[in-house]
Amino acid sequence: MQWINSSDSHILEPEGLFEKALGKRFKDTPRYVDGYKGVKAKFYFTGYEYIRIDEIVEGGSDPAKQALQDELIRASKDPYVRLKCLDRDGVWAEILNSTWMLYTMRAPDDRMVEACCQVYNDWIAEHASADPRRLYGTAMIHMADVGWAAKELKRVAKKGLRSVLINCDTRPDWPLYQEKQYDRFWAAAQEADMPVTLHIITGNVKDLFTFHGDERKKIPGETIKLLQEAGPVVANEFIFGGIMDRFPKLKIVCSEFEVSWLPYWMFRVHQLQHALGPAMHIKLPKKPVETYYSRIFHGLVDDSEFKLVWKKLPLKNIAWGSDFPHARCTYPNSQKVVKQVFKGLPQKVVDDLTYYNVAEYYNMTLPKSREIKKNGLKLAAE
Amino acid sequence: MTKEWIISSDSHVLEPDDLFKPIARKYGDQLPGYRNKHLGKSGQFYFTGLEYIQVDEIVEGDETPAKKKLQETLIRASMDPYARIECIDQDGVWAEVLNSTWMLYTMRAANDRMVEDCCRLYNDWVGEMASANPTRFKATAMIHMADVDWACRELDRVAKKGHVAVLVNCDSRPEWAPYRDKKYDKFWARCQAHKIPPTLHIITGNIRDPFTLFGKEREELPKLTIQILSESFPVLANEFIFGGIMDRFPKLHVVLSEYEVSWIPYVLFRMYQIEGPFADALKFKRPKRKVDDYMERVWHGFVDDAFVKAAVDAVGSKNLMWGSDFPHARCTYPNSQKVVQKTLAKLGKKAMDDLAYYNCARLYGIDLPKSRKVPAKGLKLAAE
Repeated sequence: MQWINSSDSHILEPEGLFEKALGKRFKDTPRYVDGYKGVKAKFYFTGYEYIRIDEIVEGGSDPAKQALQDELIRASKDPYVRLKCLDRDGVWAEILNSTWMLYTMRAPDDRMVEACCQVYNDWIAEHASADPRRLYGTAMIHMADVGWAAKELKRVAKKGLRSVLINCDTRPDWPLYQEKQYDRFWAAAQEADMPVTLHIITGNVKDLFTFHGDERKKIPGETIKLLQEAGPVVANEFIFGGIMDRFPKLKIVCSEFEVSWLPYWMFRVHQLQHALGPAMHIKLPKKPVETYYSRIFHGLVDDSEFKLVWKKLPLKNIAWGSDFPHARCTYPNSQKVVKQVFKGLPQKVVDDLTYYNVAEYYNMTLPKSREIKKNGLKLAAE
Repeated sequence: MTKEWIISSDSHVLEPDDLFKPIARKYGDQLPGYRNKHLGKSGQFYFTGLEYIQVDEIVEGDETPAKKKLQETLIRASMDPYARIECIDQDGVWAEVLNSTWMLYTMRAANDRMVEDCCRLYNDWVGEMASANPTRFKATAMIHMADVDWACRELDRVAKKGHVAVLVNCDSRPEWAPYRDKKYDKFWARCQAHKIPPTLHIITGNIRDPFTLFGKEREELPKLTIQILSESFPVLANEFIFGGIMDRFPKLHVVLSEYEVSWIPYVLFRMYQIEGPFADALKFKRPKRKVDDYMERVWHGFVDDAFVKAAVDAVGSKNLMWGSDFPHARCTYPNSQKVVQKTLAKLGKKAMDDLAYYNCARLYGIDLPKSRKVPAKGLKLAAE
């Protein structure tokens, strides 16, 4: 067995994280609660919406699945338990994204969101420091106040966090990301060589796990909307809006959107540059749109249609991720899932997608040998 | 090389200036029609009842003399069926499904009664236009879905007139009940009974079309373009498949028009996830059958999608239909044969024939010529 790397894993913020740090400063501080709308179960209040914990974490009601869920919850909060899970799953390193903070990015109180980001960023830096070669923390940065965002980015860069996750789209009442007022943030990200991540959930479309009761009739449609939210933002703001022209070393990540949407998006973006854009006399990007693709990175978990489209994709810019510990995550079968999703592809391409691409993009430290030794964490970590 | 006829599943007419004259007094300034000025700029604009569009931007062609001539030809052929026949002969197109242009936009206007009145006048006019050659022109009716009873009556009326498809608002408006609601069932029942597939076409939903943007608004053009060109996917999933419409009406077919097709693998993957792990985790109601079963009754229109093969690999070659988008910007006229070759030849002859000719004929019951070979000269021969 050979190590693989996960470009998109998650932690679970522990109980009391925000309450302890922020006290009574904000009315809607995110927290765990014991019931919602008459349903007795453990929920998380994000500062805006509610999520049932046993729905979002992989596992279920039968004893075996319950044991898996307990293990995942423990590992998502304790880095040492996590490292054991990684060893078992054959995953060398992970990009660690948040769980509840993804949702809190949608809360209306901007100052509260910023305060939560700070608390979270300190915690994730501490969490990842348990093994800096294998755990790579992503900072959360709310974009309501660009001055604060740029300052926070510089602060977290000093703490060793490797990337920043921002609101996947600007809110309707904010200026667009292409507006020059955000430039100091992109400049700071470029300067720190920190990829800017657009992750599902953090934008303007409601996530499926926040629907309850009769609202669940909307899940299929809203889920598809949510999972196609980043494509228009990347096109409009980063490519046509000129951000990638003004910051020629800036790197972008589309995380958890999978990849089989890319051919359609590439077709439309090409059409915008060559047909619709000129017909409508809009400002076009300086270079052919394809030039920008090498600075846009994509995360994939188990995209079943990848096999139909992979030949058309920028394969150096795609990386597998486990989505640990969320519902449908690949643990403890990541090695199997990877084999299945990438079946029939040349080994060199599989190696890139599962190991090298993410390591290069995030400057990860790799083990001397990719072979997995049998005796657990100590040997695995060499 | 011998040319073979192809069939366009998505062509457009341009509604003439006086079309809504009969209701001019009733709606005054609200009424859709051509205007000479917008935002202080002179030119030819169309007011849709809600938004403005600059005519020379939406019709293929531009300011060079040759392109200007092309644009004039297209405008003439979009209103005059005899000029149109000459064009499709020249282009090697045997038949066309005729969709509206301005009425697509008028479906977004706020006054529901006015939209219904416009639909009726339009439906009469396009029926008349198609009657110039019923073998080669197939009309699509426009039906506004605000009042389901009215929609049903209008559907019955246009079915008698021979319209082969009905184009509804591509999504219900936020203040309307969603399409899965049982109140719409009588409409879907009629579509099924008349064998008239409801069509979801770009522009008619809740997302603003890029051609209606002016000035600084155009900063959002790429975003809105991608969003509008994806608007029907959640509707298909949420209303028709997971919402139970296709279960309740097992012979209903649905057409997604002008969205192209390379999105299909992704949305399929997401629907598999929704019917699988997400339904497990969130315990919501699954449809009776597998997603793949419903997709056999979903038809897709494309023009020049560079990645058609991915769609064929995902859903096969029986439900995908080429269209020219005549006379809109980026339409394939007068090079449709070349575009079809370029887009489809890589699929092999059999699949190319299905996508460019047979599928559309099968869905809409289009009579085919005795020979598929395009005669060298003129209408008389072409129509045999």
